[in-house]
Amino acid sequence: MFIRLAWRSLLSRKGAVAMTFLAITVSIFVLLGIEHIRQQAKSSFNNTVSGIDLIVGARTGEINLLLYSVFRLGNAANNISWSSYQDISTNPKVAWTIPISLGDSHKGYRVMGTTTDYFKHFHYGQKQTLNFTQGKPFSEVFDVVLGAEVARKLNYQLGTQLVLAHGVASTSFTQHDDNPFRIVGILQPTGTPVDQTVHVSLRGIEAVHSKRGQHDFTPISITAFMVGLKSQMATFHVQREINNYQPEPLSAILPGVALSQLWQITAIMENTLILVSILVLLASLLGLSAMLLTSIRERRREIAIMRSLGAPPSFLFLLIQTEALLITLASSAFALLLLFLCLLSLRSFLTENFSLSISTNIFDNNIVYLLLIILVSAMITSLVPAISAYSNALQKRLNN
Amino acid sequence: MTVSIRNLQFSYDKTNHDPILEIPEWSVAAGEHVFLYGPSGSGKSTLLNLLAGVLTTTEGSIKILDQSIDLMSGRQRDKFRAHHIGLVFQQFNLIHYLSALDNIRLANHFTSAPFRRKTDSRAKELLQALGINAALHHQPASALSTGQQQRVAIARSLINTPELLIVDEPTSALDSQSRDAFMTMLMETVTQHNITLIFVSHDQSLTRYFSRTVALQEINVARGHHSCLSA
Repeated sequence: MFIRLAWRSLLSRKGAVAMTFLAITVSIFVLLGIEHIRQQAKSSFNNTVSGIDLIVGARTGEINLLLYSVFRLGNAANNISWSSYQDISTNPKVAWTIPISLGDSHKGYRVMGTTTDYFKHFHYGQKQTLNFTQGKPFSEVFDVVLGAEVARKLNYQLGTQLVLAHGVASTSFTQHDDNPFRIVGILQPTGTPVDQTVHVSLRGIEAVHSKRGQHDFTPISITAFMVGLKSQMATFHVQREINNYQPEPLSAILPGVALSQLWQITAIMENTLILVSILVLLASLLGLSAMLLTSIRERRREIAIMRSLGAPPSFLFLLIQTEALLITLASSAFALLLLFLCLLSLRSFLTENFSLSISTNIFDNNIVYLLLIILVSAMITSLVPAISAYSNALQKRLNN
Repeated sequence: MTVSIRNLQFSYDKTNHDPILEIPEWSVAAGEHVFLYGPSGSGKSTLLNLLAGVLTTTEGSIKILDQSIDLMSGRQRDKFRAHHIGLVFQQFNLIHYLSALDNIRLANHFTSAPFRRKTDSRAKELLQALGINAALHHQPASALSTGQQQRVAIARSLINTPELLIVDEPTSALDSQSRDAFMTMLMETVTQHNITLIFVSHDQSLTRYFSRTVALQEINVARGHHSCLSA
């Protein structure tokens, strides 16, 4: 009876209740949306590399090295000589290395020169390995392996020939069209920048940049390399060795530490976004409080009738609180549904344009905590109208 | 006695020594049907609020069904009112967004659990007996005519089988034909259920329905005047 009374009471004031409901729904949608995308973006970045102990590049900032070597964002300031790479990769503490050579592109997609060790040792997510949808790793100089998105978007099949372009712009005037590559493998989707990468061998990179008649395609330099150690206990020791490497200035970074630094930089923006969405929510909840407070004045007759039936003032207090709770619950449910539908329809757009793999599963611990905080906040902000109803009930006399 | 008042004094302003109600002694016997009248501002609504336990006396005592309601706590008075007293107002008696049936259920909601049993069937019986057919039971109160609303209000006041029914100007919004029909139905109902009735009105043509008529001025000896009774 109590819930029905609160529900019917709300329905009797459809106009004001609907506007309040919409305001709260939008603000909860914004808050939950920002929180979910923030969490998912972090998780997506964190999932991009797994099981890599160090990333080594020419002397540069940690975040810059992480961004260009793992996320294919930005460019390296300098290269590493092949001899330095070979020297470090033969260090007895090093288990494996993956050399990376960047700088070319194909129709806007980055080309990465590497070795077959990449397909063996590179992990993403929860130590997941790279798998092939079709074909196999490259073995010949002009073999190419495509990331899932490149193959899908460009509608490429095994055996198709493609030409690399110099530089990373989507339109390039310098095409290596005298050395076409043949697609020999297509990788399964990973939800990481791997999906948007064209993989060729280091010798292939060297070949397209070589002079006519050259037959030795051993690289002279590479952009960076990833390192797996035999024992993680040696991480800091090896890092220090590389950072103090005498033949040339190098930087060795721990991917996890560099990511933490990246989050620290983005934290200011994240916190600002969250603060704004909290303020929007607070404004909506105050609107709810104002709507209920105004309704108390219209409901003096109703309060008198309930008092005449034996309703204690606490009943009126709880009735107002229940009305606030019902509106907030309905708004939360609708906001969650809206968020789910938006994520469902925008998921492929976010993946294709921002390399963000956003899950439509919106029920994680953070979202549940946020919803609880929203409900408690709604209860607190509606204390004012609830207390007003309580005191009105105490003072109200039964008359016409 | 259903109602027993002794040395009652009441003033809205506790610091004001001129009470607006001062009744040395007044009582209503069980099963009695009393017509209480008086001009506007004479203190009728204040007396009803005191009898219903919404207001408490400044001095003196009021016993309803031999229990001193002025000595009860607020919560006890609310419970006592829900269990033993039925109230019907002049108009706007019902919560407009609830159905006729829900208005009656709500009255039962404030009683203890044993009273809630079979509420629906009893509510429907009462509505049927008062001439509200089943098709109107689920209609919102706002969709009912004034006469139908008054009958639903009577049914609601009877749902908890009260010993005392306080009715305040229920016929003022009705035409003479509806008024007579309502009065006949009300008197039959209270007689059938042996309910003590205190009926307040300034329409003295209704005295013919009652065994006892009381002018408030006769029992209220207060000299003070007040202006906030109908607040």
